[in-house]
Formats: sequence, structure tokens, C-alpha cells
Amino acid sequence: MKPNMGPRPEDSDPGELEGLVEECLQRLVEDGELDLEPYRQRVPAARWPWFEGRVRSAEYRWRRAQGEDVRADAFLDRLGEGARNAFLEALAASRLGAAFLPLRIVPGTLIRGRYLILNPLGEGGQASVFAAWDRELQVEVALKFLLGGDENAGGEWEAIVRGESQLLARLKSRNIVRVYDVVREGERSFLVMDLVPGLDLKKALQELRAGGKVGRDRVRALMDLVGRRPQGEHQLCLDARSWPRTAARIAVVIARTIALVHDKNVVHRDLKPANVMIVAGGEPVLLDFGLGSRSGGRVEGFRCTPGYIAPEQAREASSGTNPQTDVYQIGLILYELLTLRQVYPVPPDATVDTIIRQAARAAVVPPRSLEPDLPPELEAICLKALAPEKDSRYSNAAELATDLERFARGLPPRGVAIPRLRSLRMRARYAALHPAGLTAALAMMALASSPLVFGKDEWEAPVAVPLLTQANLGTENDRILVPGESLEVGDRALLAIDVVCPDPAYLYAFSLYGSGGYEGLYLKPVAPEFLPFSEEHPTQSIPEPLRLEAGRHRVACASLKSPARLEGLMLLFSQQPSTLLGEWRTTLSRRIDELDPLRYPEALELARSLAENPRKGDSPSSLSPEERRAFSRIVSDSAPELLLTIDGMLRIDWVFPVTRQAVELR
Amino acid sequence: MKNLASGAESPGEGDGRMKYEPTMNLVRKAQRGDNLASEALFGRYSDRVLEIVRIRLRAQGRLRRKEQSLDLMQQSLLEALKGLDSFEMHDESSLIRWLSRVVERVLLNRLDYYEADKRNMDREVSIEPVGHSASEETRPFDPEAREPGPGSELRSEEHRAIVRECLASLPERYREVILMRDYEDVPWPEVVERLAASSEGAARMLHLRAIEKLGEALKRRGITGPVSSTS
Repeated sequence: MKPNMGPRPEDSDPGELEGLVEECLQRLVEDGELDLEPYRQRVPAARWPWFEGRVRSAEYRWRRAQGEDVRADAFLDRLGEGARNAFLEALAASRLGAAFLPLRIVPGTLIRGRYLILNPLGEGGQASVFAAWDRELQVEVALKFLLGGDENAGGEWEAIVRGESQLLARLKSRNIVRVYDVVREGERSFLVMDLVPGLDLKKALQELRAGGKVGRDRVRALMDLVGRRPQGEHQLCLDARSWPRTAARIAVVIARTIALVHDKNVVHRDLKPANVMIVAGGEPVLLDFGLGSRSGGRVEGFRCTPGYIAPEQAREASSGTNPQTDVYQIGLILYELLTLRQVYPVPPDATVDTIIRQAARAAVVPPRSLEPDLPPELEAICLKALAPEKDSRYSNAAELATDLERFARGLPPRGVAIPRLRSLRMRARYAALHPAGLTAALAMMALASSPLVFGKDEWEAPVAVPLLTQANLGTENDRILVPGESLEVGDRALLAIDVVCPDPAYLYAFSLYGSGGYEGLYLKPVAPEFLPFSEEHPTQSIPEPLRLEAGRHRVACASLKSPARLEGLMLLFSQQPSTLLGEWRTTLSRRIDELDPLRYPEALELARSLAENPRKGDSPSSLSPEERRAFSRIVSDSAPELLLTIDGMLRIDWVFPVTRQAVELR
Repeated sequence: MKNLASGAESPGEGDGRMKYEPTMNLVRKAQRGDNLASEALFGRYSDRVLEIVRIRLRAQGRLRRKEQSLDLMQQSLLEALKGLDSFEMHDESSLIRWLSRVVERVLLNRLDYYEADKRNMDREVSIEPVGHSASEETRPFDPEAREPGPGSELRSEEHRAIVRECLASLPERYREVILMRDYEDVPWPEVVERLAASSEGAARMLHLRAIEKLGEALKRRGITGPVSSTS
């Protein structure tokens, strides 16, 4: 044996000492107790700390494996520095070894005669998730097991699983994975959860990075990855118009969901893309609710994911219990969505120390220096969420969500300062789009005197702004209803719309219903003093646009549905008559299966019929009358969305005061 | 939706139906001669079983050319599945144990044969074994890439190879306890019996020490953490 080469194990021949360690541990197994004193003479003094640390480390793991509730820090407290290092080294080695072993869960196993294990879905730090077939309910579910096997056999494990399941059961949201059951069988317990179909955000971002697409193409790429149609109760988050809006809408949902969690006095503390599932349509669902983050007595002191650590977590070396920590982590996710880059990239060889130091420094590269096209207000929101001092951040997730929502709707954010002129323009543009604030919009436009262009993110060439002055609701007996008056007479609303056009324009009109549907209105120019009339509504699904010369006009039309459900009008003005609608019919007939069935309930049936008989799509006359009606309805319902994509199209919504929503315009 | 309740056994819908069959049922069907059931079993367990066999053979210094021998191993596994009749199912892990033993035996016999013939191992092992179903037939159940991208697949295959070597380099008792517990899922009482350990506590101690040694071996090979896919 080499003499006194220092306490490092690799510096000396371990053979003899290893044998001694084995002997000690054998005694421990036999007696259940271990007194190390008798071994002092047999171990060189310089090697004693190594020996003691190794033995105690094995003892600690063994006791845990036996189900004893022992704590690593209690062991560490009794050890000197050298022994402590040896203890931790052995612990790290055992974790490393365990990380490379297969999961002790065999596919094909039937648990409790009910859950059939299928395939692994992913692995987290301590848990492992498998797809399983629930033979009773005949659905696929996700089973979440805790890893670490024997080491986790203690009661702490049970507490963690129960804690998470109870927490998740209390949080009812379609954006949080649902838990059905906690099952304990033999050595294992697991959660039975909804199998969330989709792609986790970490993988989605990887794919998007690899795809190299930007702008709208990136939205399309994500669409292709997760599917464009929301399923079930989920909603559309993909905004085909721009990537930043899509990113903001995804982040809004995450922030709103976390706000809900904060309301229950729970802090997530470990938000990261891998914990966010993106389902069809782009909506996020949060998966992992801090399994293990509440388990005390871990050697690490706190549990985080490298690259997703808030500065205060790094500085205080604690997981923290502050809502602003979650705000920071949502900021990290938003940043990554916007730039496809991690705020703190973690090189493969990074040590814990570098990771922590990097997080504590909290130096963020501004997103616009990476993506110059990002709207400045979105950058400002993102950087506020990522403020190094938690008091400079949004004080909670709800505030962050509000600002992101305002951005997505085209309103200036509240929590951050942006240039006054830009803010004015945003307000003016927003008001023009949301006529409840119409008067305000006109005032603003006068103030900012800036031309407006629609359908694009930036303001470009000037375009005429028709001014909607009045929309009257009437009935057959020629009586004009005052706004807010109940419309119980007859089964449809008759409308007179007064429009002032500075330039000649083409006008489409759609009625808006409370259910979210539209319907194209057949427009008829009438004399200014003419009041609404009774006339059959033409059967064509998208009426031709009405050409209006510059000046003041009164246009009459009738809604198809009950006036009681009518909430407002949407008017679309363009300078050119659109030929798109004709093409739209043809395009739709080929892509009908891509439509959102929630919005277009007939689409599924129609798609099936077209698939069975492809020739039908080419000649509409071969459709049955019923199918033709359904198709017309779909064309008409989807027309406004299509029309809005035309450059220079101006949209004015006129919401009747009785159902007017409060619009934020402060 | 697939009609999973129906007991229809038409081959056309075999794959989807078999996916939701517990292993117990698959074994029973395979024993009755249902080929689809054998295929499903192959798909479900070939990865794990072949990994176990590789580790054991590697430790014996018998398997050097992993590339060429994969075909041969799969053939052996198919052969083992044909002999399911003699197997009595207790649980899923007992199937894995049984299969890995049979495959190991079949492979060792073949390797003996090739070596006894003093032929070039290279040539022999890459030759399609005669008298068995052509390799075309085995290809459909080739364990497909489960990892998302080719990059990470490569990384994890490299890692797997290193883990295999590290396990092979451990003292036999350490290697066996890991194989039994982590690969074959043998229950503790049986581990105690097979290792002739004094108690379950002693077996657990052996196991945790073995994992520690594996971790040390991995660290010496420069591996510090599981596959990380951060870009």
C-alpha cells in the first residue's frame, strides 16, 4: 500500500480497504448496527475519512432500501469534511449507476388486473411515465411511477405521490393533467393520469430549431407537429398570422394556469418546457407538479432543472416559495418560445457550480437582439418577467397573463413602458377593431393622425377608413329599436347600417352571434330615410360585396337567426372586390377535413362523405342538397377569417350595447 | 376507434389488437401457435432480452462483434419463442428470465459450433443462419428507433454499449445482482436464493454496492450523467 497519499480514493490501492468496507457492511447487515471504532487501527489515519464516508454512505442507502426513514443530512452532520466528501461521492456514483439501468417496470405487465403497461413516455428526474391500457374503461392512460426503486421505498415516497395527486385533484383545469387514481401495489405506487396526446414543449422547440422556419412558417411548422385542430375542450392557440402572437398565446395559457395554482397557495417551482405538453391546436397542458420538490432532507438542498433556475433559487440555494419564481420560469419559457433559444444554455460538461453561478448572474440577452422582428412590447413583457430581482418582476402570474393577453389583442401592455406614440397607435388600431370603443378610436385617430392598415403587424400605406356611424335594429312594423331594447318580435333582426366612406369601397357584412358564429348578410342599399324591411333572405351563402361610392350610405339587411341571439355586426371594407371567395370554395372542398369540428360541426360528416366519393369535391352539383347546404354554411362561416387575410381589409365590429363587453381602454 | 372488445382473430387487425393484450395472454396464444402473438412478444421484449444476453456473453468474453451478431441474436430469440411450449408463465419478468436463458444457450451453442469449426468468426456470424426463417421475416419486428432523432439514438446506443462494457467488467456477483434486479425484475426472495445470500438485507446491500460500482466505472469512462439532449 502506498503511504499517505492523501484522502482521495483513486490515489491508493483500494483493494484492501474495499475489502474492509465489505466486511463492515456485512456486519451491519447481520447486526443491524455498526460501530466503526474497532476498525480505526486497521485503517491508515489519512484514509479514515474516505473509509468512514464510504461505509456510512452505504449504510444510509441500505437503511432507506429497508424502508427506514433516515435522512442524509443527519448522517452528514456527524461526519467531518473528508468523510462528507466521500459520502457524497459514493452517493453520486450510485445515482449515476442507477440512471443508466433500465426501468424496473416491464411492458406487458398487468397491474391489478386493470392497467396494462405499454411503453415508456418519458423520464423525469425521479419519476417515470408509461402509457398504459385501462382494461376497465378501455382507454389509454398515463401511469406515473417514482424512480429510484429501492432507495425510495420509505414512507416519504408515499407522501410525495399522495401529495401530488391530492394537489392535482384539487386543481380543475383543462390545462392541468387530470389524475384519476393513486394505486399502490407491492413495492410500487403510481398515479393514474390522463394521457395527454401531444408533444412536450422541449421536443417541440427542438424540432422548430431544427426546422429553421421563421414567422408564419414557424406557426405552420408547429401546426404540423401537434395538429391544427383543437380536440375536446381545448382551444386554439396557434395564430396563423404571426409567431410572436402564437408564442404569447401559449404563454398566456401557462400563466393563467399557474395563476390558478397560486390561488390555491401552491407554487410550482419547476416550470420548464419538458413539463409543458402542447396538444393539437397549440394549447399547453402542464404535466409535472413538482414531484419531490416538497420532500425535505435532500442532499442537494433544492431541486431544480439546469437552465431553468431563477436567480433567487440559485442565490439562496433553495427552491423558494415565491410566486415570482414561477413568473420568472414562465418568462424563461416565453423567451425560448420567441427566440427558440434557452436563456441559459447548459453545455453538456457544465458543473453544478457553473450552472448555479450563471443563474445567479441572471444576465439575459435581449430577445430582439436575436430576433429583431419581435414587437418591442412583447420583448418588454418578457424582460420584465425575467428581471433579476423578484420585486421588479410581475408580482404574480395573473399580471403577466394580463399583459400577454393585451399584447395578443393588440393593446399596449400595462406593466411595462413603451413609447407613447406606439402606445397611441396601438390603442387607435385596437379601437378601430373593437367598435365598443369607436368614439374613442376616432378621437385617437385624430390625435395620432396615423393611417391604418389591416392584416399586417406594422402600419404601412395609408388606406381609407370608412366610418360607421350607426347601426339600427328594426322590426317589420318600421319601428326603430333603441339599442338595448329587447328584440322579441319576429324570428330575425332587420338592420339598417349607416356608413360613411371617405373613398369608394366594397363592403361585406356579417352578423355576430353570442355563440361565436357568423353569418353573411345580404346587403341592399336603401334611401337614407328608408327603414328596415321584410324580405326573404337570399340563399347564397356568401353574398356578393356591395360597392359603395365615397360618401354617406344606408344599407339594409336581415339576419337569419333569432335577433335575441344577435350580438353585433362585423363589417369588412376593401378597396378591391375580392376574387378570393370563389377560390375559397374550391380550396375548402379539398381541405374540409382540416377544419375545426368544434367550429364547423358539419365538417366531419362532409369530409367523410367527400373521402368516400372524391369526385363529389370536384363538382358541387353531385352533393346531396343537405351536403350542399352544410358546405355553404361552412363557406359562409369561414369567409370572414379568409377575408381578413386580404391586405388592406378593414374590419369594424359593432357590438350592440346590450351585450357589449367591457373593453379595456385605459 | 378500434373495436378492442371483440375477440376477432383476423390477421389484418392483429397489430392493434395485440398492443393491448397482457403478456400472459400473448404467451398463451403463442403457445397455441398464434404467430401474431409471438411477433408481439418479440416486439415487446427483444430489446431487454437481447441486452441481457449481450451483457452476459460480453462478460464471458464471447461476444465481440455486436454489429454482425444482432441478426443472429434475433434469430435465437425467434427460435426461443417457438419453444414457448415448455415455458410456464408466472409473471412477465419470469418470461424475460426464461427467454434470456434460452437465447443465451442457443447463442453459446452456435458460437461453439462456429469456433469449433475454426472458421472466421467475422464471416460466420454475418451469414444468415440456415434452416430458419429468412431474415426478411424478422425485419418487421426489428426493434425500431424509439428515440426521437437519429442523433440522440446514436448517443444512447453509445451509452448503452459503454454501460454494457462497464457491467461486464464488474465482479460476477455485482453483475448478476444488477441483471437479476434491474434487467430481469427478479423478486427479492428469489434473488436471495439464487445468490445464496444470507438474507434479503444482505442481497439489498450487495445490490446497492453493485450500483455504486457501476457508477464509478461509468465515471471512469467519462460519463457524468444520462443522455442530455440540450442543443
